[in-house]
This record gives sequence, C-alpha cells and structure tokens, in this order.
Amino acid sequence: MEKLKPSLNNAESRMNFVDYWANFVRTHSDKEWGEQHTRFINSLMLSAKSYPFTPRKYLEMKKEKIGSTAPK
Amino acid sequence: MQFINERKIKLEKPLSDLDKLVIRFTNLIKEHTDYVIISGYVAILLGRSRGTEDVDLFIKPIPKPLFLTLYHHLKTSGFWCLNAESDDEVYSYLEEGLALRFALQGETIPNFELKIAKKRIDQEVFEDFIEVETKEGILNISSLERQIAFKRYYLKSEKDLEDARHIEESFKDHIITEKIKKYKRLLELTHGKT
Repeated sequence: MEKLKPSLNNAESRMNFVDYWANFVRTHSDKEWGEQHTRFINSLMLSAKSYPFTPRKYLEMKKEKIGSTAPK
Repeated sequence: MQFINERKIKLEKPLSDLDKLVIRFTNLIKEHTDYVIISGYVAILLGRSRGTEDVDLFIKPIPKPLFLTLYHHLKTSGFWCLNAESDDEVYSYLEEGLALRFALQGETIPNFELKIAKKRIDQEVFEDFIEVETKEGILNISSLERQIAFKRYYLKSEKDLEDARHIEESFKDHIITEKIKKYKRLLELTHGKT
C-alpha cells in the first residue's frame, strides 16, 4: 500500500489524497473500501436532510430559472 | 470493482443511501426512456470520497405525452420537481434545453438534474455507456474515458480535476488513453479549444 505523499499546499494535499484513496480502492476489495465510503456518504446524506431551503430558495441560490408553478 | 467486459462493471460494495436513492429514481426513469448518469456521481459511485448535492443524467429526446407519463410516475412515486409543478411548464424546461431538478417530496438535496441530450456530443453518451451491476440494481453511467475528458478538459474546476484523477487512478489498468484524447478533440470541436 502506497503511503500518503506529503504536500506543500492545499491543492496538492487534496490531489495526493485523491491518489492515495484511488490506490486504496484499486487494491482492496469492494467490501473493504465500500464500508468506509458508505459510512462517509451516509453521514453527508444525513446532514442534507436538515437542509432548510425551499425549492425556490434553492433555485435562487443556484441562479436557475424558477417556474411560476414551482413548489413553495 | 471488476470489469466483466468493456461495457459492464460489477460493484460489490455495500450501497450508500445515495446509491439506493439513485437506483430508486433511475428504475422509474428506465420504465419510460433510456438514461445515462454523467458527471460527479459517476466518480462517487466508483469510490470517490466526496459529497454531492445533485446527480446529473441525460435522457433521450422524448415526446411530450410520454414525458408527462414519466413525470406523473415520478410524482406518484414520491418525487417532486423543484422547478415547476404544472405539466406544461415542466415540459417547457426540456423544450428550452434546460434541466429539471427532481428530489424526494419535501426535500431539495440531493436532487436529480435531468436533461434531454440534444447536442450530438451529448447523445453520444448513449453509444458507449457502462452498466454498473450493484447488489440492488444496474446503473447506466457514461464511459470512463468520456468522463475523464469532460471533467479534465471542459469543466476543469478543482473538484472536476480530482474526479477525473480518481477515475483514472482507480481504473488505470482499464482506461484507454487514446479514447480520452479522442473525446478531448470532440470537446474542442464542440466547445472550442480546451
């Protein structure tokens, strides 16, 4: 297993982690990487549930067209 | 992850709540038309460790009556359209080439950004998409080389460059570099020099 490379700045640090994790995914079983990954994604899904915006507010934030019949 | 053949991947990871929601949504879509998932969720499904607020997918051009049948099916199955509610207004988005966002009724995130593939380069995703066989169903995703090229040479944000790198590194034994170059040239022809 390759070690996580040291980095000089945030962008490099992020990319090094992408390489490290992709290598882990490639060299481990779906079950091994999947259990960690699923816990992480599920925790993000849980926090999305408390997202307070209405459809109109969300579309406004995304700068997208809001239909006259959009749900309130 | 295991390539069964060049158009099929077997994925035996435990599915996340997001994966299950995507399977639920696409199972409804595929009863009415073909679809292909593109962009960020492709990388996430294949192990990229990041969140997303939306899942992008293309559907093939579809006549209004058929689309409305699909729309009503989504509504009766617990999804709402964030952009509009009336049949005519919802379909007008697609006619204008705009995306529609669908989420679980009462929620906004995560949502499905559904768009009709109108341009030639978008329609081509249906020619070489990959089926990902999961424990609870099959998902159609854009070809890996197409995803890498699109993210690296067209979208180009930090997040997109990282997604491209994740796919490339995770599947380094399967990625065909010549295909990435071909899609890069297609993007240049369609959108100008990348």
